[in-house]
Amino acid sequence: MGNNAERRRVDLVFRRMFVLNRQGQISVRLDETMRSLITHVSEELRQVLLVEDPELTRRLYPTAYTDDEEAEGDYQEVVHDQLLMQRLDDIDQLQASIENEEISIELADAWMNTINQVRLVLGTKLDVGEEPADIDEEDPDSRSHMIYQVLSHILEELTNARIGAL
Amino acid sequence: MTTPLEVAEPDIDIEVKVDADNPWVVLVWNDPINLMSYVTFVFQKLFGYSEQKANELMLDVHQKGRAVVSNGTKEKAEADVARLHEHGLWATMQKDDA
Repeated sequence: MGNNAERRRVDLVFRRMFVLNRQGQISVRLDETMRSLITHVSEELRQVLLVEDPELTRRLYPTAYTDDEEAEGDYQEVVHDQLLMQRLDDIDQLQASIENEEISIELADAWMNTINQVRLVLGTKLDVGEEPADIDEEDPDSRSHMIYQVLSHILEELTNARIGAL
Repeated sequence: MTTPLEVAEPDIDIEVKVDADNPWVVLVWNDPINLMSYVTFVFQKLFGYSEQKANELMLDVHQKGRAVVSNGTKEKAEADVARLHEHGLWATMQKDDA
């Protein structure tokens, strides 16, 4: 009891975006701006997945066999389309539940996959480093950097909530 | 990986044993995009590793550039790599001839 009360107080103080609740679901405390942003970027991801510009999608389909071209070809032939279908399905699940006040663990996984894939595409495009970039408003990519950092924060929060359900 | 975490130094052996029946190893490589907490979570989720072991593997990836996260037959290694790719991690596999 004490721990739960303490946890609720901490949640309130830090305004966590996601909280694993007693029913084993994840409460979603995102405002409308955040929910719109996630919907928007997930739809952009769908287009990137369908158009498949290798410059943007190379981090989504890494090489499995680095020194065996034939095995790599076989691997990609089997796995590539499975990953694509899975990712499109994850986007559908995310978009269908984006207004929910709570989501199941299964949905949380679909959200995490989608948000991380957007980060992988955006991070590749921006050529990000390990440290967060200083955002310069004069930079034409400043908005993309900001979105990348916001998504990083959302994913960190969702991971912290989801890890409690392992 | 991003977002540093304060953790204790690893104090247990995390080497994955490679034997003749399980000669394929799965490696995860460092990249600047995946979050450290997310990578730890994926290792726990996919391989059932304890938080401590998953965290140590994540730190190996981050600090040494790569880590062996599983091993097995070619089929098992391929399945593990595919699941890691599904989760956005940069994973490769190779036969350990040592």
